[in-house]
Amino acid sequence: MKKLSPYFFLIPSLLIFSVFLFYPFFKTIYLSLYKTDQMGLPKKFVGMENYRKLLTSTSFYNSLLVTLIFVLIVVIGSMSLGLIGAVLCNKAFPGIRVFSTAYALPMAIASSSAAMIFKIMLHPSVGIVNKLLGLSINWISDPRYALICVAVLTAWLNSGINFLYFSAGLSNIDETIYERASVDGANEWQKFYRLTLPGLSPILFYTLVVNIIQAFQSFGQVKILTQGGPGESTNLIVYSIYRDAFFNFKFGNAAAQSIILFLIIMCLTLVMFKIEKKGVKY
Amino acid sequence: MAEIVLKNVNKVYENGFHAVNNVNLTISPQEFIIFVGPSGCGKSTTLRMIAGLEEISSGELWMGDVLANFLEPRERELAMVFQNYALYPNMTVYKNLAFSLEIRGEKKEEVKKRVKAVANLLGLEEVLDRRPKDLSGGQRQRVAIGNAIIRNPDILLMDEPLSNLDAKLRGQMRVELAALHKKLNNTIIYVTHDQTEAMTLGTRIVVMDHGEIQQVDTPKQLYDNPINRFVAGFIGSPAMNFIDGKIRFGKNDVYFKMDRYNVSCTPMIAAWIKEAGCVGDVTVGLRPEGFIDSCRKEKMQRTDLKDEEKITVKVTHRELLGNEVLLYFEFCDKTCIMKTTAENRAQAGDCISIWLDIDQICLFEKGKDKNLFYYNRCK
Repeated sequence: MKKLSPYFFLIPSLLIFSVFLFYPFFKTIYLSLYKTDQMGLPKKFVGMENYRKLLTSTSFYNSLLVTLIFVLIVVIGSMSLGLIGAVLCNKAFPGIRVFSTAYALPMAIASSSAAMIFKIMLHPSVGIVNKLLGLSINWISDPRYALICVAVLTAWLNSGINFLYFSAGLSNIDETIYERASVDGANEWQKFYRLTLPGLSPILFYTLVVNIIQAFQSFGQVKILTQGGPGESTNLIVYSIYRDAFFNFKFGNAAAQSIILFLIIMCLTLVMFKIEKKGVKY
Repeated sequence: MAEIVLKNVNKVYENGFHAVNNVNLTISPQEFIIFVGPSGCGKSTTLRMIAGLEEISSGELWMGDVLANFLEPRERELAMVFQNYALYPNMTVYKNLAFSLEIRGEKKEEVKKRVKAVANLLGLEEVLDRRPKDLSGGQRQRVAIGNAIIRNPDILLMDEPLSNLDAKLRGQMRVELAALHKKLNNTIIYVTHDQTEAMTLGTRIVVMDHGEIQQVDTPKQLYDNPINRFVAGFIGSPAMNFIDGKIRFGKNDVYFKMDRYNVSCTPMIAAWIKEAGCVGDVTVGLRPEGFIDSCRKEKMQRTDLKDEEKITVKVTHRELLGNEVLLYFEFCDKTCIMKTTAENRAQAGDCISIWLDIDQICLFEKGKDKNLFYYNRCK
């Protein structure tokens, strides 16, 4: 009884996890091995057929490539935005609270509402972006720009929480080491490169992992802004899964894509944790 | 080597707090100068203004013939040891020591040579690969000092560098610091609130209180001839005793009336009192060793201390310090402390006879701060 009792305390969270995580997960694996009907019920066992089809379809490879570019832009963009904001706001000056709030604000904005606002801002004839830049680019409907637009929007959205993490990380760095560095003769860049970045390295690593996972899962902004188009230029994997499942009713196919996405994210995370042991020193 | 001159230096913070008030000071090359004072007296702020970490509100700071007020810290060519050492946690000891050389673009072999030399000097060879968190307090302190001296700066600033060490290590490091100064011969400006450090290390001591310099003098002068009541009470441990009394003029002599005793002055002190034109209520300042008991009287062969001058007091508390002993007693409604040899066996409750060594006293008008004998002793 004594040995068992700790597990009783885990029951509530295990129950919730089971209903919303474990059951859907295993159900997805199960579905990915079947052909399904319109209601999403498994009809015919096909084994690895769904995976074979996926790995030979150009559309899926396009999705992977688009997602990769998207993730790169989003992660680099959101991390540098958050870092710059945090470093700027790490000094006391009048109005610091206003600036901090502004930098952290994207955290509080729903991706779909941000996408709605961007849609208006990027509108080819009445949008403020074209007005200010004096251009007449159809941002969202031009395959050359659509992906970048969605990625920049996502980068900005994700930068809020990064700003918060980096601010916390910066406040953990002892102020006097900067004073010592000034007396030692370091300039601002040397202080940033040799003290701030290494001091932030544990939190940088953590945000990197979280940001990559988050970027892979972006959905709302694609759905509102581009619906995967024009053509397939913004057809990220998650959007592709959604489309296959709820428009094309190919649940088996969508499930297989989900599993592949899961494997990609898992591998990336494992690799990064391996690297962390070597790279992050503190 | 450059002289450092502070001219009417002030520091007023944005909230109106006047941390440093009109400081004037000339620090000559190769001096080991110590800023000492209670917490919040402005000594660290003064040091940080010299380092360039704190803006000077008004006044001038000269380094040699350069006005240094607006120089960046890195342009001042000085080094500093911080109270919490401020070691870079992400770097090894080697990297910590090499930092200031590397960012100046020194050649690798040169950096290596100098780090080795400093590590050798401070006994850090064994720990060069470790990170600061794996070091003991004393080792961290050495790394901080090593980092400061590796560039061989003309001016070395130290902000309470020993305050985080335990008593034994502090004593040891004190000796090493003094030796280091002899060896390197640079100017050291050192801030501490510990007066033992101040007395043992400094060639000159600057005593500060409430943002103002009270007295600048050699340790011996500071102890023997404090300029005012604050310095008198701050320097020396246990602190100087302050005894209230009255000055009375007899036919040929001058004496103090304390409690029911009349303590007569030596001719020198009597002359000084007359010179100062002092009458009535006064406070007499006397060091703990200025009370002489019969043991010390015999030892020092003080035949000038006559029997009719002796005072009888009741010991309330006894503290043995080894070969010396501190005796606490009530005199003139105040607790006084005397220091004597451990041969005095008096226990709490015993009554003993003591004499006042009148030649040693400082004299203050009641309620005023100035030591009336300061200029007499300066001569």
